Amino acid sequence: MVRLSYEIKLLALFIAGASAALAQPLSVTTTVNQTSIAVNQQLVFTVELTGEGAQKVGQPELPDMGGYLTFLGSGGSSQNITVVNGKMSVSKSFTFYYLAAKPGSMTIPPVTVVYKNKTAASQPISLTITASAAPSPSTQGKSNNAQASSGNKLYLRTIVNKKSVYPNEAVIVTYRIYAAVTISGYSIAKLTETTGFWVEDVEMPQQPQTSEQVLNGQRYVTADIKKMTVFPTSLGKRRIGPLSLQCEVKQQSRRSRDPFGSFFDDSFFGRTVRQTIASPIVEINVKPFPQENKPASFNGAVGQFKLNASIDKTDVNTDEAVTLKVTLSGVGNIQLLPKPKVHIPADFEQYEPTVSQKIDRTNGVISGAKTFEYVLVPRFPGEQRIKPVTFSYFDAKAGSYKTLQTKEIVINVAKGKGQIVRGGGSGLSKEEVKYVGQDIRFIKVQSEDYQPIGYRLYKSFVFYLLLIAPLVILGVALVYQKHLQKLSGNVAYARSRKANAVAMKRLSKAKQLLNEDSQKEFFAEVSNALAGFAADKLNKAKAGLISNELENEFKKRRLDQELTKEYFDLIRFCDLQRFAPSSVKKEEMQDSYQAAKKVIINLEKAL
Amino acid sequence: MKVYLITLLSLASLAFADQTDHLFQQGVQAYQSGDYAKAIESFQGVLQLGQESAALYFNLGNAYYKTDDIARAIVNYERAKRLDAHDEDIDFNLQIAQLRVVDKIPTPEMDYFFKLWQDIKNGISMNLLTILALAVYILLIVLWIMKLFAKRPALQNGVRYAVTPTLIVLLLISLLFGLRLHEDLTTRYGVILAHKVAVTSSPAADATEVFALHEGVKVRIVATSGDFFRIRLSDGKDGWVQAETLQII
Repeated sequence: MVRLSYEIKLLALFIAGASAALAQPLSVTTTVNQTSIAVNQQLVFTVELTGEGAQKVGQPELPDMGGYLTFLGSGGSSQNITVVNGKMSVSKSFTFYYLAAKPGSMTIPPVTVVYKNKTAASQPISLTITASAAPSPSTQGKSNNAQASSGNKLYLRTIVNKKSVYPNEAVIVTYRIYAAVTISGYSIAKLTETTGFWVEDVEMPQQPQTSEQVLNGQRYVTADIKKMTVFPTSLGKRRIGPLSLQCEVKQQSRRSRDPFGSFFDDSFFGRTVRQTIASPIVEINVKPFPQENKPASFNGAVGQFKLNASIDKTDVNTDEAVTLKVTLSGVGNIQLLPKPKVHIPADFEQYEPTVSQKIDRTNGVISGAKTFEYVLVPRFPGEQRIKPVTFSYFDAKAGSYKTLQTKEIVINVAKGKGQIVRGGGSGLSKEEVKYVGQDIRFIKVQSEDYQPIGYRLYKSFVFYLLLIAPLVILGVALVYQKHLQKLSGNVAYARSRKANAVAMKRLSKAKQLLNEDSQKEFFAEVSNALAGFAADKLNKAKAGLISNELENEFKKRRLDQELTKEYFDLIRFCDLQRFAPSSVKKEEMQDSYQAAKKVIINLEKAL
Repeated sequence: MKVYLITLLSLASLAFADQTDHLFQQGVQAYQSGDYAKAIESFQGVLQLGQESAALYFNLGNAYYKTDDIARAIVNYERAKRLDAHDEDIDFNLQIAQLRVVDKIPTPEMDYFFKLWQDIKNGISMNLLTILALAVYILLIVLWIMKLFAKRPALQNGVRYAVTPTLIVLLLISLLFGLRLHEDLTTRYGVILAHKVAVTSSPAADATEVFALHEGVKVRIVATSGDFFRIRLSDGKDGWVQAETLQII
């Protein structure tokens, strides 16, 4: 800075003569190196004066930053004189360093300069300060001082080889340190945030290689601190976050002009200050893949690849396994390479492929090979064909899609000694295997059973008709049948069918009388049951039924002699007891009852 | 019997018969020559005349399948299946179409008897079941009337033995008929038409998405509310979708 102002004085002397030619009015412009920064990042604020009196105006008064920015220090001034077609224009610029103190949106107020009663003002600049994970305040606190004194003598740059890429396209990110001060050591305080990227770190030598570079008249020692290759995984504007670095900076002694001073100015005696620097955020624009000519087999791979498919043997038995090796090699994100499409016939037992990969990261260029090994066991003898394997990728350099295809592989399968292998293991279900590659069956060329749309038989009139009509017919039939019975007068049949029931009813009544000990009524009931049964069975009037007539009837029906005798004996005994009662024991009544029951049962069977 | 009944019923629409056949054949020809869009148009024409048949829905399903409209193909195969539960071609094509549906909804494991019952219950079209139930019912009444008037003991005995089994069969068929009738009147199924549908937790446009479905999935419609259907999947997942994203089978 001392040297700079020296030069300015010299220049001013030189210019003085030509100053009459200056006619341009004075104007002020202010610029910042970035309009969106994170807390704890450094902002470079430049005020440029052009036109008449530019070189005569001193350092302008700095605007009030409202607590958003902390003043770090002045970067000095520079003057520029250009002569075009005899017209001279002078510009002078001042550089100031600020540190973002708190997040928010702010406006840097205009800077005003007064020269010869004329006022010139700059445009206000709006600035966004975002919150960010930055080095801890304690280290920051220490560094503030150092930065204030060293200014832009030490900074870190993020260098990317491209800023607008497709997803999965390699971006090489290099962090390079620029130092105009002596650094005795550094350590990475905080690694870059790389959300939305797949990161491959590139190995760096233990001792970074340094080179020299002159920037803005300042001699810098530069060194690549860290290098990585990133592959964006999602679309849109993606940020590569800052890397913070903690450096041990050797302080230059103010008395360095003292010839003896240099004796003490070595690393041993030198005062070192710890300073934290952060690289600026770099935005990478990730654009979508072009839609035109996009192959169906494209699965997101970007780079330059080669595809190779091979089989270890082409003549196998049904119980032997073959290995299909599909290798993708080239430059690109090998780790995230999708599986190429392999169509394995359903006649093979197949297993998930084993994947192996070899990656070379020299100079940040990620290359290598990925191998998919499929173990296949043929299930049936015969010639089996594995369709060509296809793989599509996007060549970002050429800006077009490329599709790779291998040759068809033919395997001759002979019948092995063992059993044909069956069972699961394949990616597809049995049912799917059965149908894959099949087409639908052909349409029907005829259609006969048309019906109104949504037609349901149960909603139709016919349904209710067919439901109710049979019931009506049944009802009519029942009535008609009753009528027929009456007409035909077939009482005989009815009496015969009901004879047993009537007789049994009488007998149960007799049993009741037996229990009540009413002898006369009991025998009357048993007699009636016996006589009534025969009368009903033969359709005769009970009252008019004479023993002889009944006997003849029985004979006609070839009734058993003994049964006939038993029947008549029982009736006679009952009648006797009924009309000329004698004292009969209860046991005898019981016997008569049992006998009557037996006779009726036997008669029912016989008649 | 079926043919007779249906002929009887479609007497009113006999006037359409010529036109129906013409459109159907036109569709078949368009399909054969590979003009699937025209085939769809012709087959839809038959539907617009108010006529349907299993073959018509089957052909329509095929034409939609060929134009890669899997959802509508499935709708039409399902409709064909409802009219003819035993056509092997319909089952086959439906299965092929379902393979192209993105979502694989796991069907709950069914034990043998449950599956058998399902097969019996759904293995017959509703109209055929109605005819069958009516036939057994009429047979029972005929047997009853015969029993009333039969004189010969052999016939009488024969009828007596036939009545009980017929009555049991009628009871079973009526039970099945009742179940199917209830299902037919209350249960509706739909197929997702939209490419992707967000199934939400409530019937509102801004409701939380519970899960997503893709075209071709068959769902049961359990309720409606405004423009929304409440759907249930075979694995029990439940949610609301907008009515226009579905086509009712």
